[in-house]
Amino acid sequence: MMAPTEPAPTVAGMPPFPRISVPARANWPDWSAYRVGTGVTLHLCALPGKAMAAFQLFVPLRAPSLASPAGLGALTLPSVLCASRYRDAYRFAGALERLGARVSAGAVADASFVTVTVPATELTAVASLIGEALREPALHPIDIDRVIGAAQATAEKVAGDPTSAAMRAFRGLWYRPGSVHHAPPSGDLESLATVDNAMVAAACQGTIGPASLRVVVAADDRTVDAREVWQRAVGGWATPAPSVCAPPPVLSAYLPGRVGVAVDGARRSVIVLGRVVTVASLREAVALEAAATALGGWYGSVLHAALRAEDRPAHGIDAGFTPRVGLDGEVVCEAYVSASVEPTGTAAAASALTDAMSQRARDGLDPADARRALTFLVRAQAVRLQTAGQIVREQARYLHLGHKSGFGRARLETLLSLSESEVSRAARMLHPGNSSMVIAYNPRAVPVGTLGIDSVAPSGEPWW
Amino acid sequence: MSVPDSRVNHHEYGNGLRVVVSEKHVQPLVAVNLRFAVGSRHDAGRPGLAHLFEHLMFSGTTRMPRGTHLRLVQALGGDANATTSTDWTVYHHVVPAEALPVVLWLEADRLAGLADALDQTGLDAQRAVVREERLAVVDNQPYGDAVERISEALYPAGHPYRHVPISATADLMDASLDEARSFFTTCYAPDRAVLSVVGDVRAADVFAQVDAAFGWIPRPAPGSAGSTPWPVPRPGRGVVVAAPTVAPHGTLRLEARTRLAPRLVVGVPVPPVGGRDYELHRLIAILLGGGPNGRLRRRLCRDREILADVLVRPMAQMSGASLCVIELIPREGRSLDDVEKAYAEQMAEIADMGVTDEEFECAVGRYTAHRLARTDMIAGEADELSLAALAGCVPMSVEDVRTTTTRTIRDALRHWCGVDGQVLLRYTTVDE
Repeated sequence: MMAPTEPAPTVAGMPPFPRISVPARANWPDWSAYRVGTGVTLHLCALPGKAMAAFQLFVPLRAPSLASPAGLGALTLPSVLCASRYRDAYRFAGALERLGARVSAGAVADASFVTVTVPATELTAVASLIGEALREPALHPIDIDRVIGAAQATAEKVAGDPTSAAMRAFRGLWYRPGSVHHAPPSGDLESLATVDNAMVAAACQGTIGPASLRVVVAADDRTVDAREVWQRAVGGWATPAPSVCAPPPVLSAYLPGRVGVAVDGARRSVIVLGRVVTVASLREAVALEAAATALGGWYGSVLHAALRAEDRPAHGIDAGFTPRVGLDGEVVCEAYVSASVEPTGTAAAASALTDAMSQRARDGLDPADARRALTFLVRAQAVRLQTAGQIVREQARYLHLGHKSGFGRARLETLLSLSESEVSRAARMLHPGNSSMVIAYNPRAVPVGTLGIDSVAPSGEPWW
Repeated sequence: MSVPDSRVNHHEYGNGLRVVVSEKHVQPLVAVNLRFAVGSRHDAGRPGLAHLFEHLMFSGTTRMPRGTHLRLVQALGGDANATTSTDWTVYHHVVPAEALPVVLWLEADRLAGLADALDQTGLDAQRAVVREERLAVVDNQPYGDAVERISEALYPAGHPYRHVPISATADLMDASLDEARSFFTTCYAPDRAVLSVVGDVRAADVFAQVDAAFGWIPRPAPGSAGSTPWPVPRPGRGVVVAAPTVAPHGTLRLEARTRLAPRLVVGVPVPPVGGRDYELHRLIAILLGGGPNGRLRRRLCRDREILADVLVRPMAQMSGASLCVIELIPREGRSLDDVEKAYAEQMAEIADMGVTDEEFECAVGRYTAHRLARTDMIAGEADELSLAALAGCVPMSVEDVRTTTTRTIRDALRHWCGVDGQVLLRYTTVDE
C-alpha cells in the first residue's frame, strides 16, 4: 500500500514514515442452519466471549398478497411482537426492558423484520417472551393502531425528502407496478391511509407462521445454547400460515431516460443515476458492486473528486447496490450513484454526473480507484462484523434478498480475489445510455426547462 | 453478567503520554483514540478556539500536506474523525490492524509539527469551516441553541463552561496566528493526552510502536505553559480544579422564540464525570426518559397525553458539574404551562416517593445493555478507556449498578433535581 504523498524528511529523532503493506481482511463468521420447533428455520452463529447476543426474526414480503397497499407487509411482525395474550404492550415492553433487550423493527422491499440485542445471559428469557408473542399473539386493535401510527409518522417525515422521492421514482421505473419492489417497502402517507386494523391482523395471520418465519441468531455458545433456546421458544407453535413464496424481482419494460420528480419545499436537489441489471454470476455482481463503490460509494471515490471538490456543484455523493436472487439463480442487481446538490446547481451537476459516468463507462476505471474500492469494501465489511447485532444484520440482509446462508462469505472471498480489470469492466454496465436518471427538485427553486428531462411528476403524486 | 473478552494494559511514557491497550481479536481492525485535555474551557477569551484546533489538526504539517492525512487513512481502508467538548478533544481512527504504525506516526507528526505548519491561509480557511459548521449545527438547527442558552444562564460571566465548544464569535475570527500557535503549544503536549488502542493487536507490540512514534517528542520543560499538569483526580469525585461551580441562581426561566412547535428544555446540573455519582445520573436519565417505561415518557406521554415525546441526555463535564438536558415536546394542543406544571409534579413526586421497583429494574436493564453494547465495538471501548484514564476513574461496573438501590436514586434526585439550579428554557411559537 502506498502513501498518496511521500512524507518529507523527518526531523531529528522522528522515525521514518512506516512503509507497510496492508492486505484487506475481514472474518466472516461461520453459520449453521437448523429447523426448530414446528419448522422454523434457524440460522445460528457462535460468538465465544461476546457479552451481547442478537437475533433477528423476519418474514419474506414478496408474497403478492402483501404488495398492496404498500407498507402493509412491514406492519406485520411489529404488530405481532409488541404484546402477547398474557401481557399487554406496556407489560411486554417492560419485561423486555428489564432484561436489557433493545428491539428495533424495520422493513425492506423483501422482508419485514424485528431485531433484538440482549445480554447473552438473558437470551433464554427474551426468546421465551418472543415465543409467547408468536404462539399466543394479542393483535389488540390499540396495539395495531399504534404500529400503524408509528409508520405514518415515519412516512410523514420522509414525505418532503428529495432522496426518498428520487429513490421511489427510480424503483418505480425499473420494477413492474404491482410488484413489491415497485412501491416503497414501508409505504407512504397515501398507502398507509388505506390500511386498517383488520387488514393488518389478517396479514399477520396469513403470513407469520413456522413455515415462513426465519430466525437469525448470534450468541456466545459458552453462555447459552441458542438452538435449544429457540427450540423451546417456538416449540408447539402451530399457526397454519403458509410458507411465503418468494418470486423474483419483476422488471418493467422501461426504456432508459431522464425524468424529474417535483418535491415542494426541498432545499436540495437529488440526482440518482443507475439501473437494474441481471448478471449471470456472483463474481459479476460483486464486480459491479465494487464499480459502483469506486464511482460514488466513499469519500475518496471518483465522483467525489469530480463533483464534490471545491467549487463543484455537489454536496454529497453516494452509491447503492442491492443484489437480489432471480428466478434461475441469476443475480438481479440494483446499482446507482447519487448526488445531493444545491438547487441552483442542479442542471450543472446532472451534466457533470453524466459526463463523468460516460467517461468511466467508456474508458474504464483507473486501476488504483478500483483497488481502493475493493479495499474499502472489505474493510467496511470488517467494521460491520464487530458486534452480535451487526453480524446478525449482515447475514439477515442477504437472506432477505433470497440468497443462501453462505452468500456473505462467498461475496467477501470474491471481493478479495477480484482484479482491478474486472471491476473496471463492470463499470461499463453503468453507462448513462443504459441507465435512468431521476432528478428530484424543488419546482420553485429549479427551472424545470434547464434539466433536460423527458417527463415530470407533479408534486406529491406518483408520476407514472 | 460476563464481561467482554479483552485485556487492558496501561503504560506512561517519559514524556507524560499515557497509553491504554485492550486486545480484542474479533476482526482484523484497531481503534485508536487520542484524547487531549483540551476543550472549550481552555478557550481563554477566544470562544471556539479549541474546536477550531480540532479542524486545524487535519490541515496538514510540513511533512504531511493538507488533505493527506484523511486520504492516506482511507487508502489504507480506515476512517478518521474528531470531536470537541468542554473538557477534551478526541481524535479517533479505525483502521486495519496492520496500519496502526501509520496512524501513530500521523498523530505524532501533527502533535509535534502542527505549530510550525500553521499559516494565515490555513487559519482563515478553517475559521470559515467552523463558521459554516456553527450555522449548520446550531444556528440553522431547530432548538439548536438550547444548550448555549442554558449554559449562559447557568454559569456566571467568565466561567469556562459558559460558552459551548462550537462558538464562532468575532473574538475567534479576530484571533491572530501567534495566538493560535501559542494556544497549540500550551495545550497540545504529550503529558496532556491519553492514547487508547483497542483491537486485533498485542499490547507489547503496541507499546513498542507507540514508543517509536511518540517517544522522541520531549516532555515540555518544567514551568512552560505546555507542562501545565492535568489536575490530579480525586477518586469518586471527578477532577477538582479551581473555579467551576454552579451559579446559585435558583430556578431560572428563560423565554425564546421559534417558528416551530413550542418546546420546553430543562437544564439540570448533575455530578461531574469521573465517578459513581455521574454514572448514577446516567441511570437516572434512563429512569426519566429512556424506553417506554421511563417515568416522564410513561406518565406524561402515555398516561396523561401531555407530551408527544421526551428526550433526556446527560452531557459529561469534568469540573464542578455536568449538565443534563431534558427536552419536553408538547402534544398538539398542550400549552407550555401544562408541560411545565406536569414536569414539576413528576419531579417532586420522584424526589418525595422515589421510583418503583419496576421502573428501576427497567432502567438497570437498559443501562446494562447500553454499556455492554458500547464496549462491544472497538471504537466504543477505546473511547471509554481514554475517558476513564483522563478523568481518573473506573466507570461504575454493571454489578455496581445492580447494587444501587431505589433509595440512592431518590436521594440523588432530591439533591440534584430539586428546584434550585435548574434552567427552564421555554420556546414559544411566533407566527412568520
